[in-house]
Amino acid sequence: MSQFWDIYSINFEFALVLGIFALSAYLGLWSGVLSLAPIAFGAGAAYVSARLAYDKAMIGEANYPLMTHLIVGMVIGGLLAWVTSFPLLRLGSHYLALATITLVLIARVIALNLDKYTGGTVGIIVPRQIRFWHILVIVGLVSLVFACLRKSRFGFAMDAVREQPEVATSLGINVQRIRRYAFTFAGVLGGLAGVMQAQLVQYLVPETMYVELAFIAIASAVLGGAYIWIGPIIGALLYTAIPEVLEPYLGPSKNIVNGALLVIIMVFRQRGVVDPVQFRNMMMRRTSRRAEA
Amino acid sequence: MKVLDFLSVTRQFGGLSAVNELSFSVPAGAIAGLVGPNGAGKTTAINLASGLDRPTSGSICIFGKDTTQLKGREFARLGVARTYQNMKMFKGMSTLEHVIVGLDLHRKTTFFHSLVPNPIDREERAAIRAEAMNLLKVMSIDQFADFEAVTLPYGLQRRLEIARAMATKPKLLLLDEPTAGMNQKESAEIGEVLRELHAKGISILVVEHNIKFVSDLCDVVTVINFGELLMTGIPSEVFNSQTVRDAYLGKQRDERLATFSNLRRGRERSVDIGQFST
Repeated sequence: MSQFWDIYSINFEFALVLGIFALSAYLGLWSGVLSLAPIAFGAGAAYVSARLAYDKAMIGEANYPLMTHLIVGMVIGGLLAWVTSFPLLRLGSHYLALATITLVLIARVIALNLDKYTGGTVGIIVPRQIRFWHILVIVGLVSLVFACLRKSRFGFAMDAVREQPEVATSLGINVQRIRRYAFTFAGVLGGLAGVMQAQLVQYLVPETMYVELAFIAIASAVLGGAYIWIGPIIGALLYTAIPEVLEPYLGPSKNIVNGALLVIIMVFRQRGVVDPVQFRNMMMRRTSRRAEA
Repeated sequence: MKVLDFLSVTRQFGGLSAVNELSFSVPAGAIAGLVGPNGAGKTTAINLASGLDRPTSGSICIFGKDTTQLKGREFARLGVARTYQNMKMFKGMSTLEHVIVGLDLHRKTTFFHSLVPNPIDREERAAIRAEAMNLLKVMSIDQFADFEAVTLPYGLQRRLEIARAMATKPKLLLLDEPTAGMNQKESAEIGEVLRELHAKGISILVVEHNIKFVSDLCDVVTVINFGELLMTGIPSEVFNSQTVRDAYLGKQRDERLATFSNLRRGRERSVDIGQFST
C-alpha cells in the first residue's frame, strides 16, 4: 500500500487540483454558460503567486504562508473574472464559449511577452510546495461550499437559468446577475486551482495552463456529471486514473483506448457518471414500489 | 381602473405585423379572455404583456404604469406572472423546487448566504419550503412534490405551471392556453382553480382556443384576428356575433390571404370548427 502511495500520490494531487478546475467549469455550465475562462484567470493568479514566492526566495527570506498565496490567487482570479464578465456575458452562448477560449490564448501571449515578470518562454521556478493534506483540506472545503450551494437560493436560480432563462426572467430572476456571480465565483476557484497547480508542478511556463488544461477541465466536468458538485471531482479522478491504469498494459497506445473509453462512457451516460436526477427518480420508484407492496 | 391596457400596440416580425395597432384592456378584478383563430397574434400579445417581447410601437400600461422602459425581469416585481403554451418546465427539478424558484423574488438572503451554512439561510429555506408546499396544496399537487416535474402527466404539469407563476404573488396572471390538450373534465377543474384564484383578488387574462371554457369562465372577451382587434364584450354577445363566427370559420381569411400570400406562404392556418360550439 505504501509503495502504491509512493508511486501514485502525485497523480492524486494533480487529479484533485484538476477537480477544482473542473468545478470552476461546472459552475459555468450550472448557470448555462460554457466557459474556459477560469483557466486563464488561474494562469494570472499562478504567475502572481509564483512571482511572490520567487522574489522572497531570491532575497533569502522565508516564504509567505500558503494561506496568503491562496487568498491572493482567489482575489486575482475573482477580480479578473468580474472585470471580464461585463463584456463577455453580453455574448450569446456559442460566441461566449469561443471568447473564453480566446481569453486562454491571450493569457499565454501576455505571459510570453511580460518576460520580465513571467520569465517568458523559459518560465519561472516556484520555490514553494503544497502538501497533499493541504490539497485534501481545500478540496473538502470547496466541496462543502458546493454542497451548501446546491439547494440554496442561488443554486436553484442557476438551475432555472440553465434550463429556461426566459422563464427565469419572467419569474423576476436577474439572469445576467446570476451568470455574473457564477462567472466570478468560477474565476475565484480558477485562481485557487491555479496557485495550487503552480505549487504542484513548481515550474511555470506559459503552456502550464493552456487550452489543453481548459478542455480537460470541461471534459472532466461533463464526464463526471455536470448536475451535482461531486460529478466534476469524480470526473477529474477518472480522467487521471484511466490512463494510469491502462499504461502498464498498453504503453503509449493507451491514448487511443483512453479516448475510446471516454466516448463509450459518454454514449452510455450522457448526463455524466453521477446523475442526481436519475438517482432521485430511482429512489422515488423504489418508495412507490414499497408502498404498493 | 385597468390592470392591463394595450394602447395601439404593434409588433412586427420583418414585414409581418403579428399584432397590429391593437388596443384592449383588462379591467381590475376581471377574468378576461383573449381569443382568435390560430396565428391571430394571441401569444405575441401575451409575450408583450409579460415583458418577454417588446412592441415595435405603441405602449402597454400595467396597473396604470407605462412599461416601455421596464426590463423583462421587472414585470414580475410589478405583479405580472405568466404561463406558457408549451409549459417550459425546468428539466431535472422536482415539482416542489419549481415553486421554490418561483418564490425567489420574495427571498431576502444574498449570494453570500448561499455559500456557507448559516442560520439565516437555514430559516429562510425552511420557510420557503413550507410556502412552496402550501402553494402545491392549493393546486392539489402536493403529493407529487418530490417527483421530477417533467415526468408528471400533462394536466398536473399545467397545474404546476400555474403554481410556479402564483409563487411570484402576482396581481395579474397571464395564462397561455391553460387547457390545451386537456379533456372536458380536466378543463373544468382548471376553470375551478382559476375561479378560486380570482376570488382571492387576482385579475386573470386567459388566451384560449376552447370557446366553451372561455364563455363559462370569463367576464369579458376580446377577439383578435390578424393581430387586430375584432370585437370586445361579454362572452354571450361576442360569440353570437357574425363577425366573430366569420373570423373563426375563415371568411375573412380568404380575403386577407390574397394580400398576405407572399408573407404567409407555407404557413397553414388551421380552422378550429370543431371547437366552435354554440
